[in-house]
Amino acid sequence: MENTQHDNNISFLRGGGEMGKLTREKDWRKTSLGEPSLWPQSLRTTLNIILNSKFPMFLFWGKDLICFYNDAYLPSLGKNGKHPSILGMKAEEGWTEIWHIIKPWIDQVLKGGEAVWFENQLIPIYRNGQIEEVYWTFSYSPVNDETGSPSGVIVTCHETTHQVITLKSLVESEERFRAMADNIPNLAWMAKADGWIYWYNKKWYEYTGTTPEQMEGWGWQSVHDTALLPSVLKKWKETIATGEEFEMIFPLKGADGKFRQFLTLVSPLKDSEGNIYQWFGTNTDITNQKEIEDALKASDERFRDTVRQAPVGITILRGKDYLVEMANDAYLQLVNKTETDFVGKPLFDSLPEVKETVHSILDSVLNTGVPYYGDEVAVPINRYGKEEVGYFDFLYYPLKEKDGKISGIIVTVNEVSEKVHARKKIEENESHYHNLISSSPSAIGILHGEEMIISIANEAILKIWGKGKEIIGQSYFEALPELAEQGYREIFTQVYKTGMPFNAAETLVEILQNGENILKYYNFLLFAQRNINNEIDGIGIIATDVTSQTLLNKKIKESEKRFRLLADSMPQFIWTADAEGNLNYFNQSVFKYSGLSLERINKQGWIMIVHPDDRERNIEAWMNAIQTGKEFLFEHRFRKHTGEYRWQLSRAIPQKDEEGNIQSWVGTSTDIQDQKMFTAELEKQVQERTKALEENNVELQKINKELQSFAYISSHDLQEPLRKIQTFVTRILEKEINNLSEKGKDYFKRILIAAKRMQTLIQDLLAYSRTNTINRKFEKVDLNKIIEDVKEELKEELKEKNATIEANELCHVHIIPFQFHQLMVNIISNSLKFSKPHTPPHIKIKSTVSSGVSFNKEKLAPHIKYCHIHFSDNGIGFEQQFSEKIFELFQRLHTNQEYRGTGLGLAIVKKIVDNHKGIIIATGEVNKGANFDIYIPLN
Amino acid sequence: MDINSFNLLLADDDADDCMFFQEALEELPLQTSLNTVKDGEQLMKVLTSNVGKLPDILFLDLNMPRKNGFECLLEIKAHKKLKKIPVIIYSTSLNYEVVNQLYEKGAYRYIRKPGGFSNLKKVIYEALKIASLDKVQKPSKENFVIQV
Repeated sequence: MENTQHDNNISFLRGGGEMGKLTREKDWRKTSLGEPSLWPQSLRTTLNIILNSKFPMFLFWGKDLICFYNDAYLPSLGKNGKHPSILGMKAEEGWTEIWHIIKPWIDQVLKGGEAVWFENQLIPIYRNGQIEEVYWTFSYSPVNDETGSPSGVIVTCHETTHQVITLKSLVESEERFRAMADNIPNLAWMAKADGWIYWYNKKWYEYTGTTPEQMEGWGWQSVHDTALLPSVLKKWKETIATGEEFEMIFPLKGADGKFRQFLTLVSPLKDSEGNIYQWFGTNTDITNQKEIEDALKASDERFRDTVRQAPVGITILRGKDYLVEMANDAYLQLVNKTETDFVGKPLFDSLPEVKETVHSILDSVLNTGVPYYGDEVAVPINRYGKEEVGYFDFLYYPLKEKDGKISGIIVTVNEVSEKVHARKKIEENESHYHNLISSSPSAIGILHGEEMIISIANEAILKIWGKGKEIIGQSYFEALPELAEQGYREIFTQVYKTGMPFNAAETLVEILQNGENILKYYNFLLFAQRNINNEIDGIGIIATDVTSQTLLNKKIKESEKRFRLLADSMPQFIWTADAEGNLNYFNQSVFKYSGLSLERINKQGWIMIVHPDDRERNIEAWMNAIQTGKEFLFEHRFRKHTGEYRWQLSRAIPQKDEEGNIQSWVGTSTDIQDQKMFTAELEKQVQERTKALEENNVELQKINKELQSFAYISSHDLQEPLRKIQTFVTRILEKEINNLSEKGKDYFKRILIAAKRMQTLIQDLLAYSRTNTINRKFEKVDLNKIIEDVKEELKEELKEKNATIEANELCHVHIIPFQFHQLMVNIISNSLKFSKPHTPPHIKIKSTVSSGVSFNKEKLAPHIKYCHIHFSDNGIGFEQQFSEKIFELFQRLHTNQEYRGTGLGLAIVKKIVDNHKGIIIATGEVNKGANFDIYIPLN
Repeated sequence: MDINSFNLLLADDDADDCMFFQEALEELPLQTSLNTVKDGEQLMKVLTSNVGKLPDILFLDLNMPRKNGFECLLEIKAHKKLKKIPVIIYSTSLNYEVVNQLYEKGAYRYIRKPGGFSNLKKVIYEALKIASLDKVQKPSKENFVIQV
C-alpha cells in the first residue's frame, strides 16, 4: 500500500521506478534526515535527478552519509546483497567492507569540494551471496546545500568488471601464446593487418642475431638474400592485399652470416566480421630437406640427361593413348620432331603414319607385359618434308608400377635404314653387274685363273678382238696370239701376280681380224679380280678405242707446234693461260726481253716481270677477266733484262668451245713505251697551257673588275663635275645674262649642249658596261610588266612626241630583268628618236613562242623553244645594208646635228641579246620604218 | 605639314651642291630653314644628340666620305626615335638596283641631282610639295623617283 499521507510533501519523489517507490515508502523518521517533507531543497533536487536518471548513481547525504540509489544502480548491488536494506542506512554501516577505501574519498570531497575520478578500479563488494571482485569506473562529486557547503556526495558509476576481465584474459592469453611461440623450434612473428611486424619470437632473434629495434616493421628485409628479396616482398604485399595464406621457401641469413632455407607460412587472424586484424607467421628451417630434395633432383636430372644424350632413341609412352612422357634428342631427331611438338601428346597424334605398323604391337606389350623386339622393321614415316620408309631395330619394354601394373612402355629405337638400304643396293648391284657388263659400250672382258680363260666378254670387246662368242672358254693368249707377240702376256701375268692395276693410254695395238692386221689406238685398264677370300682369281679388261681421238690429238699437237713456232717469231709478247687463269705458255720474246728462263718464270710467277707499282691492279684486272670472261685489256710496265721498265698494252681474249665455255686465254703484250711517252708529253703541254690560260683568266677577271670600277667612276665621279658645269652655266645664263654679249650667250649655250652630250655618253657607256656584269640573275618575267615600266620611265618623251605603243599579250621569258628593261628602253627610245617629223611615232610589239626550227633561222637551235619578240615602228627607217652595222659600238648613220646619239644604244641591245643567248635581226627601208626581231630561248 | 615652315637638313659632302641647294631654296617662294652636314658620321651625331628637335625632312646624299648615305639610312630606320624622319635621297647617279634597295629600306623619295639650276629648283619644290601634301606616306614604287 502506498502511503499517501506524504503525497503533498514528497512530490519530488515521484516516479523513479522501483527505487522511487521504495524511497517513498521508507519511513525516514527513523533516520537522522527525518520527515521527507522537511528535507532541504538541495536534497530534494538531487534525489529527483538521481531517481529519474538511467545512469547508475548513489548518493551519500547528511552528517551520517545516509545512502540513496536509483534503479540503474541495482545490478551493481547484485542479488541477495545490500539491496534494498542499504537504502537509508549510514554509509559506514552499509559499506562496511569497503569503508576503509571509500571513506577517504568521501572525506576529501566533503572537505575540499573537489570531485574524484577512478577508472577500472577494483572494489570487491558483497553481492550474489559472496564477496565479488568488482571493477568500477566512478566519480565522487560534491552536492552543495542551500548554504553553499557540500552536504552530500553523489557517486556516478558504472561497473567495468566485464571489460577488465576480458582485457585481462586477453593479455594473459597473448602472454601465454608468446611464451609458447618463444619456445617452439620455428622462427615466428606477428604482424598488424598492414604487414607491420611488431613481434618476433626468441628463436628469430637467436637465429638472425638481430635486435627488436632492427627488426620492427619492415626491418626483416636485412636478413634476406638481396637477389630474392624483391620476389618475397612482392608476394608478401600481394598476400596483405588479398588476405590469403602465404607460403614460400626462401633463405634467411643466420647470425653466422650463412643462409639457410626456410619454409615460411603466414596465416591471417580474423575478427568475427571476417576482417584481418593480425598476421601470424612461422619460418621453418628446411635446409636439410631442401638439400636432399636438390640432390634427388640432381640425380634425376643426371638420369634424364643420360637418357637425353643417349645415341639410341628413347621415349616413354604412358597409358592406353601412349602419351609421350619424354623423348630424348636421338628419338626426336629420328622422327624429326621438336620436343614441344612431340612430348605431352599421344604418340599417334604426332605420328599417325606409324599407327598401322606399331599400334597392335604396343597394345600387346601393354596388355601382356612381354617385351617386343623388332628387327629391321619397315615403318612408313613422314619426316624432313617427305614420306619415306625407314628401317628400325627397336625394343618395347613394359614399365611396371610397384603394384605390378603396367602403366607404360619404354621404347628404345635404333634406325638401320642406311644399313638396309646399302645391303639392298648390293643385292641389286649383283644382278645389275652382268647386265652392265654385257650392255656396256666400253669393251669389258673377264679372264679367269692363271691360264686366263675368257669367262666373260661383252659385245664391244668381242668386236675389238674380231671374234665371236665361241671364244668364251678359251685361253686368252691362245685365242689372240698376236697379243702375246706384242709382249702383253708378261704384263697380264704381272697384274695377276701383284694385284697392281695396269693403265695404258693411247697405246697402239695390232690385232688380227679376219686375216688382216688392224692397228688401232686404245686406252685400256687391266685389274685383278678377287674371289670372296680376297684372293686373285682373274683379270678384268676394260678397253676403249681412242684411235680417232688420238689421231686428232696428234694433229692438234702439230698445229700447236706450228702456233708456237709462229708465236716465237713475233716481236710482241704472246702468252696463253688455262681457263683458271694460270699462264702456261710464253713466247720466245718474253724470255728474250725479260732475260728470264721459263723455269724461273714458272717458279717465281710471271707477275715478277710486272712493275711493283702495277702488280696489285694487274692481278685484280686479270682475276676480274677470268671471273667475268670479258676481254682483258691492261696497261702496265714490264721489266727488261737491263733493269729498264717499259710500258706495255696487254690484251687477252678467251678461247671458247662450241658450248661457249672458256677453254683458254691467248694474250699479247705490245710495247707502247714510245706512244705513252708522247702522250705524257702532250698531257704535260696541255697542262701547262691550261695553267697559262687559268692565269690569263684570273688576270682577265682582275681587269674586268677594274673596268667595272671604271664604270662606276664614269657614272658618278665624271658626272658630278659635268653636272656642276651645267648648273653653273645655267646660273650664269639666268643671273648674268645681261652682262653677256650675244656671242658669249651663244658660247654658253654650246657649252650646255656639249655637256649634255657628254652626260648622255657617260650614261650609255655605263649602261653598256653594266651588261658585262657577272651578276646575271635570270628570272621568269612577264614582258608586259617590263613594257609597263619602260612606258613609265619614258613617260615624258612619249608625251612630248605624242607616241603610242601597241603591245599585245606578250609572253613570260627567262631573262635578266634589268638588262631587258634597258633593251626595251633603248629600242623604244631609238624609235622615238628616229621618228618622222610631223608623224606621231607608233611602235608595235608582238611575241610568239615556238621551237627554233619553225623560225627558219640558221643560228637558232632547232629543238629549243624561243620567244620571238617583234618590234616595228613608223619612223625614218634605214637602208638594209646597214642592218648589221647599226649594232656596232659607236656606229651612227646620222650626224649629231640631225639626230643626237652616242652610237651605243643598239650596241647595248645587241650585247644584252647575246647575254641571253639569243639573236637580233634588224630590217628596214628608208622612210618605211624599222623592224627588230629578237629571239630569246624560253628557258 | 605646312610647306612654309619646313625645317630641312641636307647631308652632302659637296660644298657646291650645298650652295646650289641653299640658293635654290632662297629663290623658291618658301620660308624654309636649312642646315647642312658634311658626312654621314656628322649626320648621325647631329641626329642622335638632338633628338628633341629633328628636321622635318632629311635630304641625304649617297656618296659621302666616312659613312655613306645608305649606311645612314639603315641606322636611321633602325633607330626608334629617328625612323620617323622622312629621308629623301639626293644623289648624282641613278642605278635602278640601288634605287630598289633604298625603296625597300624605307627611303621616302629619290631625287637625282639634275643638271641645270632651274631643274634643281623644280625638283626641290616638287619634293617639298609632295611631302606637305601626302603627309610623308610611304609612296608607291612608281612614284618613288621624282623626275623633272
